[in-house]
Amino acid sequence: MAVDQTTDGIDWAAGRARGFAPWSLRHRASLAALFLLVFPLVAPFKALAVMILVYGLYALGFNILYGYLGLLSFGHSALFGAGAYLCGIAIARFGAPWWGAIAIGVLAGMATAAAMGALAIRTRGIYFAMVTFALSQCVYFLFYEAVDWTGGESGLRGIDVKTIDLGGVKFDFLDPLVHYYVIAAFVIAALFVLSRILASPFGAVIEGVRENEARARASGYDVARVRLATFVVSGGFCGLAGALLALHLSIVPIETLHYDTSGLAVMMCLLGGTGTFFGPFIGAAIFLLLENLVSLWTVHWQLIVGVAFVACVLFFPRGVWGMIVRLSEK
Amino acid sequence: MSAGAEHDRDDVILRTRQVTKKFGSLLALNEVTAEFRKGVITSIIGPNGAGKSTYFNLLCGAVAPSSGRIEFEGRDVTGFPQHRFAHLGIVKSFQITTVFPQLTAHENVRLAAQALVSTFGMWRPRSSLKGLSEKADHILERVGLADRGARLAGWLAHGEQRALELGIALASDPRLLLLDEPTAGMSPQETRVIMDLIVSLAQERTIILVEHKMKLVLGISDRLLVLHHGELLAEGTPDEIRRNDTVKRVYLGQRSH
Repeated sequence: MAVDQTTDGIDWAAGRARGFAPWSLRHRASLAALFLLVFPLVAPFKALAVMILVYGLYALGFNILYGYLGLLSFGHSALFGAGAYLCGIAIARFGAPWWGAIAIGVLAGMATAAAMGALAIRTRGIYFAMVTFALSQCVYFLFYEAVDWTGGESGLRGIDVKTIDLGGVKFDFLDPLVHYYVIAAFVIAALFVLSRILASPFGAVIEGVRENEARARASGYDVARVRLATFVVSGGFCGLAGALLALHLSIVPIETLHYDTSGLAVMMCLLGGTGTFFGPFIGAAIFLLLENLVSLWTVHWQLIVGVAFVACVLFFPRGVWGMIVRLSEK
Repeated sequence: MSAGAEHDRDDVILRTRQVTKKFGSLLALNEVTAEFRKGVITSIIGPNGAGKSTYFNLLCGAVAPSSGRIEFEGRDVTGFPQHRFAHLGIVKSFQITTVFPQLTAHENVRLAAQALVSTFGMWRPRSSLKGLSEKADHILERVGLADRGARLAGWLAHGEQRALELGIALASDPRLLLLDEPTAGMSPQETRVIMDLIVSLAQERTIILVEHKMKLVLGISDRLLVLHHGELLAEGTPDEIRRNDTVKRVYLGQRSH
């Protein structure tokens, strides 16, 4: 009887409680893809659109750990930054092809997550946040000090990718629209991968561990390994986001690794809606739009964005997307 | 220590040898040696603070003993991590209802059943794991929740959650089922239903029960262990325990009802 309901978390009642409208669940990745394809044609600034993609993907990676598994990390800048730096180093120092460098960025994110996770995963709550924070600071100073490799304080320069060669067809990567679509292609692929993972048996285990750790353990799940695996998956998405940032900016600023960047992921998720599929992107879009628009008007843009954030948390505790889902149900 | 005479080895599913548990300077359990026989319902009873819960947690692997050995089917399982117990065939239910509140009843059972098959499968749909949904339906029917499958577990009535709790435990195909006060907070009718269910489950598997309600335990148990001050005070059939003077003094006589 209830066979269909559980295959993809599509069941209406369960979907409700998770902040998904059922129609949006079944085709969530396709919907997002469609939107991202049309987005640059309506967005005023292509560069901003790319930043929304990159930071949306970063927040999405963070959301896997925070929203779906329920672990709050304050060290995700290390995963994002490691992806960006390793991708950049592969290109700038070793002349690696762009696609190889992206793969290296993803692996760097996963490896950093595995190392941090191995040390942090047995702690809970605020302790987990603090341990990840401390470890990300270690990563920050490691890259900061290795000036020969990373450029230290002034950032990593020389990530020149001018053309994208796809089976003999060359695309001008400096053309804003091409630039956007290349990066969007990776983000869309990542969305499909995430959607698939969430719908997999492992996705069910993640939910179970978030819902009731003790019960999951008693049922035979190795909770520590589930957490570590989720952290590594999260690291892969953040690493990819970092790699795309490096390609997009042609440099990697040291701020990428700064703890501000960790806070950014938390903020974007809370703004958009934690534990929802579209929330992180919406949060990233709101944050970056506010930053860009308000900073045209005043240098104290952070004040305004901060107030907007507080208002959001107070009035939309489930985030903007969570709120939209709620309203659509009534 | 009484009647727990030597039985045929094959007859014993779980055995503890001199298990001791200390919490700091508190000696919660002192060298308890006992055997649990296959295919029967054994209940662990004792006044508050007797060490029942501690003993229960040792048996199901939630905590490791400070010293002593725990053997399951002749194999030393002392100190195994909790999650391995389910794979061995030992599953517990919780005293305080702990379901997965935001998942449906069906998903609750299905997820528990999945642990035996797949944890880290990330690249295929859940539906590719054959038979899990059917198994979940079957179990829900068994525990009387056939029409509640699509309901979120957190929205179920208390009695239904207790039944679901049993269903989740059953999903792991346990050969040994450990139940910690399965009727806690239930109405008399609900208690009756669950007790009948437990008796019927005992036909296929071994059950160890921790329960406060004395009448109920005496009615359905084949054997009883009485703990007092962290030590095994007595062991035997319900009749033997009823007649045991020491037990009467420390436990039965104390109860107001």
